[in-house]
Amino acid sequence: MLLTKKIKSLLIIFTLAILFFNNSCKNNNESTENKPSQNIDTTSVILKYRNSLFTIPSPYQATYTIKNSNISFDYSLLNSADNYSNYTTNFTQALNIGIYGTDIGYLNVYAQTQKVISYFSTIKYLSEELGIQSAFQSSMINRIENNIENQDSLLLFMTDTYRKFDSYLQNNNRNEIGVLIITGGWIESLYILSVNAVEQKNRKIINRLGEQKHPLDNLIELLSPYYYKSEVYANLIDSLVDLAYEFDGIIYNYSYEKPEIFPEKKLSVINSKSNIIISEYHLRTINNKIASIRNSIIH
Amino acid sequence: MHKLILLITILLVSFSIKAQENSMANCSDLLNSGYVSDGKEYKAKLDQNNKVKFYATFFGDSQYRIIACSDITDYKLQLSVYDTEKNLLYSNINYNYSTYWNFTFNSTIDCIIEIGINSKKQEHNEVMLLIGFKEK
Repeated sequence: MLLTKKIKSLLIIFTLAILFFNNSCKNNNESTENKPSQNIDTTSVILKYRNSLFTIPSPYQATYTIKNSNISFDYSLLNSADNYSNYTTNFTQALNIGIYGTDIGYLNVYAQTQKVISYFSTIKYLSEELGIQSAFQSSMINRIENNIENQDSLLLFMTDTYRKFDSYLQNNNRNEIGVLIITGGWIESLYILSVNAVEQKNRKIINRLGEQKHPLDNLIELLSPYYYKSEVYANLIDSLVDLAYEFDGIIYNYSYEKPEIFPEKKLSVINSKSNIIISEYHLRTINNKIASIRNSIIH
Repeated sequence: MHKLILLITILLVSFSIKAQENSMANCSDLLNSGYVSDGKEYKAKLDQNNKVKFYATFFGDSQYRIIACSDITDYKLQLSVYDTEKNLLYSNINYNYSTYWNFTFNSTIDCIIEIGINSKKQEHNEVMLLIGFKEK
């Protein structure tokens, strides 16, 4: 009798537990579904990319490399914030949001904070033109002004904003705009790297330039589904493919070595080695070609 | 009997916390400790083998955090990193299916990040990858 009572109690507990858990999952789903942006299917990305995604390194890493090589700040490398009114199509607006984002990273890493606000206002204007301003929090400009001297804080604001752009565009089935922003950011970082590589002959910067070979291949993969969208997309992709031919002339050597793992720090140290061999000819040709691509976007 | 109720409660609460930790909505919370986002959210549905591959370049002298997220609760999410010669550099299977892992790259390496689940039937869930970096 006692046993039956215990079994009944257990059954009730398990039933309640299952109900509780199902309900909690359901609530989670419901709360997600209540957000309109979550309702839109984002699977187009996966189908177009054959279930492989291609990532592009943050353009800010290139600016760190330049700063860490003790190279002086050069404002003439940047796209003027006053050019924003020249960008009247979604295509040029998206590419230049990417370009200005990298420029802010460059300004930030050199602590040129007084110029950051005008660049950030430009990005805000272009994002409004593109209809993606909701990625900006209403108080964000004020928060940036209040934290203008804090480089780390500004970098976090910027990367968070670009991640929100990306998320918003994916959720609203406007992936091509997101890919153009990424493309603009990468083009600007390669341009800044290549000018410094040619002028400074700094080995670390030359290597970092050569290491953009696979990110460029990934970028072309990301853009290729939009080749037939319009002539401007086709021209951009053709120019990047032409640039990739020059990168094919770079020799990349790789040798595997066993990683070291530190589980308590959740850390793996990757000891594999790579090195780059790039000729003066390829360096100059890449510089000329990326400058030409960039000029066609900013003017 | 009380012990049993307590045990069930603990199991449910801990499972609920675990499920929330690497959910798609909470994924960016794991991008902390000085790691800065690369500005993208890489999302994709699992393929017929319940896996998704991401191609990435990691620069030398940099530190990265790789985070794998999903709303899948029935299976543990597997995160593996290979070089382009298919040498396994890391798998979370050996580390309690950790949601994220930090990496220090001494040289620039092209990698393949694989996120998936171990299930015989095909699932159609979406997974998300976040990559954060910081300079050494």
